[in-house]
Amino acid sequence: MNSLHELLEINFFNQIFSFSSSLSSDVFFYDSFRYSFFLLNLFGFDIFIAIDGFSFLFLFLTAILVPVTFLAGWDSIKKDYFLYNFLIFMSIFLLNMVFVVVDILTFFIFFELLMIPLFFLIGKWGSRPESLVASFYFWFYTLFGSFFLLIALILIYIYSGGFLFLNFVYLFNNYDIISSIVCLFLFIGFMVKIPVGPFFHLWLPQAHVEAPTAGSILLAGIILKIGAYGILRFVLPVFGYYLMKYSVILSFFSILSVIIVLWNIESCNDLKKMIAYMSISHMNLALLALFCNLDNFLGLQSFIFFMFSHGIVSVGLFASIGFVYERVGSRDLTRIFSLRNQPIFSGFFLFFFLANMAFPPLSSFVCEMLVYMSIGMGSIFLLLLSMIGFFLNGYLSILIFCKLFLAEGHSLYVPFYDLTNREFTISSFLIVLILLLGLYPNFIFNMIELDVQYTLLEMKYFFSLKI
Amino acid sequence: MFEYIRSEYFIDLWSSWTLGIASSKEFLVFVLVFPLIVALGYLSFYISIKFFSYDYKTFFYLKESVIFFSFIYFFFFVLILIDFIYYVEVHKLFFNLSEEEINILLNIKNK
Repeated sequence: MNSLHELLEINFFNQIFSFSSSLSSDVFFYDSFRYSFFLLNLFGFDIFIAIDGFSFLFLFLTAILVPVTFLAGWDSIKKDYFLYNFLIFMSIFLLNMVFVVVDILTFFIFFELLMIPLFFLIGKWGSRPESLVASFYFWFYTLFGSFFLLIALILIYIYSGGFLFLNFVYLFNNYDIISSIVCLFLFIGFMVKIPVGPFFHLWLPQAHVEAPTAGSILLAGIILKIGAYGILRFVLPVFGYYLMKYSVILSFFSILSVIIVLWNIESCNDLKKMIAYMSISHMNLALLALFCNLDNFLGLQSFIFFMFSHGIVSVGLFASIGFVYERVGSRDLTRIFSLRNQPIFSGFFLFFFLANMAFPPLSSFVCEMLVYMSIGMGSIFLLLLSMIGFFLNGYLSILIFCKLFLAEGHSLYVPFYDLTNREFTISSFLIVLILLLGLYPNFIFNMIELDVQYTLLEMKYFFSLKI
Repeated sequence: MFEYIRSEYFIDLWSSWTLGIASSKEFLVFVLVFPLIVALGYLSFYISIKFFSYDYKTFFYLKESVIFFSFIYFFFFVLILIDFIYYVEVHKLFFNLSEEEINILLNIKNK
């Protein structure tokens, strides 16, 4: 492993320094990606593709969630099953492309195309007539973010003549104000996807509540992670310097949304909305950890591991709530009482809620420990504030579980069957993954270690240029 | 001795799968485009039902086919994962390569 690391490190410095001295043809293909480069000819369009640890991590997360997505929609999808399959497979293909393309223009195109299948998934297969409103929410908020992304793209093209990593570097070296604007606009574009509160997050609870279970799984599992991936890929390596300058303001927004969003949950009755808010607060917590340690191994590593772990845990929660909806026909906590005749289901549900609370041997415990360590290294004050979020999260998780499974009273209608084979397969698959990641997190850390080091090297190099 | 030969055979077979197929770029491209191929297949069925009025009931095992495709896709990724993370380790273990030879291999892979 050492020799590999040294080899790649030498390559990195050669490429950076040869770039700064002259624009040789070898350097032209250098990007912030580290591994395999190749050309994919898709219907006559040449797409330049590269894969490294970050992109592979998110590709693997997508691959994990594909069977879960389809199994979750097995009984609940009644109409136009072929079209539904087409849209989900299409969105998976677009996600694949988003995670592997090299230049930001192609990334932007696939990023935008991804809105189309999701718009129809939420609008057509949603559980209520309001789903159309939710899909428009999703559409317009994403358009709002894309507007900033597009301006950033145009600025990059005007001032550097292309969309590759090399053009980013050129922009960073020559135009100070423009590159700070580009950094900010790129970041706002990705903020909508993460989503960072207290304004950008409003589309997500709506979309989650109205979407079918499979749509929620795709949203919570992968779509939210595109924002994180965009920041890791396009903002951090070159524009990390500007993010560091803004990190105080950005961490203020993150901590604000962690607490405010959790505070909102008290006034909600919809189960899916509650979980959606929890997921927003978790994403912001990870972002806070990143801002507290932008130039550090810990900050990046905790952020990325959190993305992967959250992708699996939140999917488990949304799938479980889908099961509740299939049994009772409602997600309203004021109307559902006591599913206590279902021991296996309640056990699995409790497991996912414990994972949401970061219970020790589970994957979320590892990542939340890293995240709080990172926040604590940044600022003790922020750590104390984020502990409010930690407490609220645990309190609400237990409250929801107790209301659903332990309360005495009459439910609307509770069928007398426990988990079916299909539901058992989904839950146990996710539970095994959560346990494995908790017991052996090095699996993910090995995957991303070199790439994190590279990103830090790049950041430090460009940071030293400005100082 | 027999056990030894059998294990060697199995390792050869496994490594030819993981390293031979999964490490090729063609396979990776195929896996990336696989959802698109399946999606277009389902779209063609949808169009045939919607606009040419084929009988919906003639399509047996529709849901099972989806699950099959999704698990196949997951399996492809597990293969690539083994290649991606444990490329160096697997080569060291199965082929007894030196550091130099591994560097040469990595250079070929990263080009």
